[in-house]
Amino acid sequence: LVFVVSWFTLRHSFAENPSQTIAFIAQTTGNELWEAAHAGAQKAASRDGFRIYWNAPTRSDDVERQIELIEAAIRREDAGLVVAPTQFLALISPLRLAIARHIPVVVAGTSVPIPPGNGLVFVLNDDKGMGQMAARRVGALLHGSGSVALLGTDPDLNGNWIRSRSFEDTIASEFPAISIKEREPSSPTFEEAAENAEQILLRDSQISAIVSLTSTDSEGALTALRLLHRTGAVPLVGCDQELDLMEGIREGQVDSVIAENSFMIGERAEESIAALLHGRPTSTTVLVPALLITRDNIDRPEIQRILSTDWRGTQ
Amino acid sequence: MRLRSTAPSRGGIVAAAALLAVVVFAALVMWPGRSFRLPWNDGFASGDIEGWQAFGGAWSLYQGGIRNNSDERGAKFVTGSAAWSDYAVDADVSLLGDDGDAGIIVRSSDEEEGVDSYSGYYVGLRDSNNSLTIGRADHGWTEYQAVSPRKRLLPSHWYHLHIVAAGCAIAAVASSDTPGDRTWVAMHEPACTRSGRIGLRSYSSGGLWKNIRVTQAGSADLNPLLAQAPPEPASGTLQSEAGFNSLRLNQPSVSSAFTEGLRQAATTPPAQIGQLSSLSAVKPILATIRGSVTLTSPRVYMQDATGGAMIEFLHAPSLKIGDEVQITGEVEPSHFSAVMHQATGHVLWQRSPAPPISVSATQAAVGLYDARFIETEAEVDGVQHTGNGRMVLLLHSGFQHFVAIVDSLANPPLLRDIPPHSTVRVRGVCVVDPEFTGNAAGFAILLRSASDVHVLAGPPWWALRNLVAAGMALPIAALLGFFIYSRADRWRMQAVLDERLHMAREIHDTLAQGYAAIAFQLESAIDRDRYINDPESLKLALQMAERSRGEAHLSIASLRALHYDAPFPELLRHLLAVQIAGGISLTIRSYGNERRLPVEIESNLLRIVQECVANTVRHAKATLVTAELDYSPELLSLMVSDNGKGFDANAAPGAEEGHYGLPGMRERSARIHADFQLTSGDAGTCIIVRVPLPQPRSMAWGYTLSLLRRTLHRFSALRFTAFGRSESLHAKDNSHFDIG
Repeated sequence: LVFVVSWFTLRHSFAENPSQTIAFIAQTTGNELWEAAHAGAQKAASRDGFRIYWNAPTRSDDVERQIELIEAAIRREDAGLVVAPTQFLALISPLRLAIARHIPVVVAGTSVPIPPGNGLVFVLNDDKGMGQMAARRVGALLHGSGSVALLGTDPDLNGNWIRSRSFEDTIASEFPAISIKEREPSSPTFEEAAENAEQILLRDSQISAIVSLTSTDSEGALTALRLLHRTGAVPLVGCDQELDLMEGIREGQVDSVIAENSFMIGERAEESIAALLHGRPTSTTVLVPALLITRDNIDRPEIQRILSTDWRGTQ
Repeated sequence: MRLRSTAPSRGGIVAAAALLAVVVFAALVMWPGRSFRLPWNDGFASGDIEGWQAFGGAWSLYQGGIRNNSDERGAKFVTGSAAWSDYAVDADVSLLGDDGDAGIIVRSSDEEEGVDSYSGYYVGLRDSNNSLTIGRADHGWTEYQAVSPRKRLLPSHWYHLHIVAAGCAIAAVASSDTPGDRTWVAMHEPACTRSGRIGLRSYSSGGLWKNIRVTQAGSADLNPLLAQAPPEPASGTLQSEAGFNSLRLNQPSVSSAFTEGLRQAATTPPAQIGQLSSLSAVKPILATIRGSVTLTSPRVYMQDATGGAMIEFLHAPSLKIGDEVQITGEVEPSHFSAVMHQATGHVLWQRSPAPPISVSATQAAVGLYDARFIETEAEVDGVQHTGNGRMVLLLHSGFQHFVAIVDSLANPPLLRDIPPHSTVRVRGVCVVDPEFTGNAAGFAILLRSASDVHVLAGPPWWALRNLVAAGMALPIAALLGFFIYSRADRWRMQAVLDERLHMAREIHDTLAQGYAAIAFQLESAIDRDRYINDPESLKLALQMAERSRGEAHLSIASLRALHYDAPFPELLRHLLAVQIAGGISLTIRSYGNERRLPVEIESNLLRIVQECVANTVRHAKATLVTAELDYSPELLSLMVSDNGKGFDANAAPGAEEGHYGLPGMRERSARIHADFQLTSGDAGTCIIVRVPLPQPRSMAWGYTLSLLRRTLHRFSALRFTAFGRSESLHAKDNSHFDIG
């Protein structure tokens, strides 16, 4: 008995203090969108004296793996949990479990149907503003009339749904002469997205602009436009940052990309956890405005910061 | 009494046995199962993959090497010792696909499933931007260098990687079979990770590794590589947009296969795989399907969003799990899925494998998920080797029994070592083919590799393995318990002996000496003819008897006082209150940090004060007695004074005259290394005792021991009482010591 008690006492003594670790479970890792969030969280954590545990599924649609990672963070009794949901509904139970265990939780990027408050904070991308921004950009490009293909709708993510609704509402109210002629759900790979976009362009030659709501679908649309030699002729307004799209902007093949300020999302998420842990007042919902990236502003520091995959948070 | 023996004591033998048992048990538990002494070579050529651990991917032995046949991003296969620090790794590496990377991790630790989920350094051949890359992973990737080889990197070509990690510098060279085709990279990290295992890693492309060798290395091995490597770019630049663009190197954004796939899709839209089973089976129908590969061995399966199918190729292309392929062949519909015969086709693109569909065993058993990639949870019944080189995991979930089958080339010991009755989650392609089920179960799951089995929970406590472990652990625990009990018993006995010694000394100093003096006086009072001839001696003997009785009374009072858990001044007050006669007032003052002292000191001080006060009461005619205690960290000063008539200290009678008061006080002071001073005059008498105190650490230890001994003492008294022994070792029971 003495041996067992001593062993556990020593293990506990030498274990890393878990209360200083904030788990950040992104949708996936190794891309511009989420490594910028990693950098933002890391920067804030260094300032607040926390350590970030960073991990995510290898695919952004692997809900099962994301739940596993959340459960592991709960088992480790991490000080806080930031989750960028891969699915609107499936994470309700694991997140409620974390809240019940008194682990402060921040839902980052896109929301889940749990009311914020009582240890839960939403740090969300302003998807409504993003949809409006895309609509007004297209409206200006088409001078108020034309046919648009809307690609990349995804009911699994609330943010995407808000984005598409906002886009359609704004088009209907502010540009009634613009019609949305094609709607295409989101594709898991850029190749499939390219194939879908190509078929739409071949099917309907009247399409005067493409709006794509995800980076994968934007990249697919750009590939289709390149293969059909229609870049520039059909302006492309994409969403979410991706370096291949930036090359398209520089070359004039992509009109613009409306990017999530994921660096700021990561930073605000960590700050919210720190505030909850220290009992400081914090907003239950933080909306982070999106950034419009065009050829004119692509080199600005705040744009370049969200295009970097350097996660160390030193910028 | 003999307290110690030169022969080994029973406690010593027990201690040695317990220690040996603990060492044996620890060795059994922690035995690594495989030696990782350097130099170290992989055992792939001989079919040995013991000691390797998979984090994602689909790893199996292949042509004398190890292959990850999956497009998963960041799949890892790790081995070696966490203590390896400065070493060199040599390996032959081949990429399986054309849009990813494959390489070697050094100084790896903290590995998990995930893209960059490990801590260590990675050197990889990346064909997506034609570079040899080096960087640091710490659950996030920091690229230090990416250098383009002179000759373009190609999939399915062998490259030799030589990596040296020494100190905080890592350098590598990659070479192909083309003479002069060598590429160097290097990095230096000031606060580096200095040790860790090695790992194989691929990203999107899958990979093949062989001839892995790890050897000790130092700066002599490192410097030639550092000399060839280009200078490091500024930190973070490779991960910026500019860095990304600099590495783009005019890569085509889409492959020709992809373009061809798009062209074919535009002309002949593929059929949905889920629809194939409903086609007519009367005559072969030619169909084209598109989907991602879910299994490559022992059969090829692919699926799309509507269903799965088995593919029998005419000439099988090189396929990896996750590849998006377009296939044309003859459809053979069956109950729940279809088989494509005489198939031809090609890979359109690579993609990370889709996650499985979670189903229950009963859902899988009804055939709806035939040929699809699923996962389910079950309990392990056992493991079997079959004659055709496969390993079979026997499973059940509720009343549904089924099997999980893995190719013997992909069964690391993990699968063999899963104990029966464990709860596992298995991922693989669900099949209802009797070739695999043997009609003994509704379905079987074909695993991609043994890492598709995740143990969720070990067997319940009553499982044989746990009972055996408990059977081994119990004797060890019993030995340890016996050892501790024997030590405690020894301490208790020592406490009893110490107490007996203490009491013997008290008896010797008081009663024995008193009786001796009485006997002496009586002897001198009685002549040889047995007549009393000296009444004075008789009076003196009577006085001595009275005095001895008083001494005994004081000793008992002192011994009892020491058992109270009260501050020393309080003990003093308690003790002197009964000693001081009416008409004398007592004042006790205390200065400094008041605290309990070792029993030896307290006991002697009490006896000195008792003697002093007794003299005051008897001789001084005083009205006031003052005791002052001054505590300092190193010293306790005790001063006892009265306002009595005093006496000539120099002319005071000594022990030789039968007066033991003053000599006794001096003797007790000497016993505790104290300085004793006595002054007496018309204003009264004063004694000062200065006792050096033990330092806090030794005092704490002494106090702890004292407390322990007191506790054991009480425990032993209780125990003796409980067992009906007549011996009692402390003064709480007045009936044994009441001599008044």
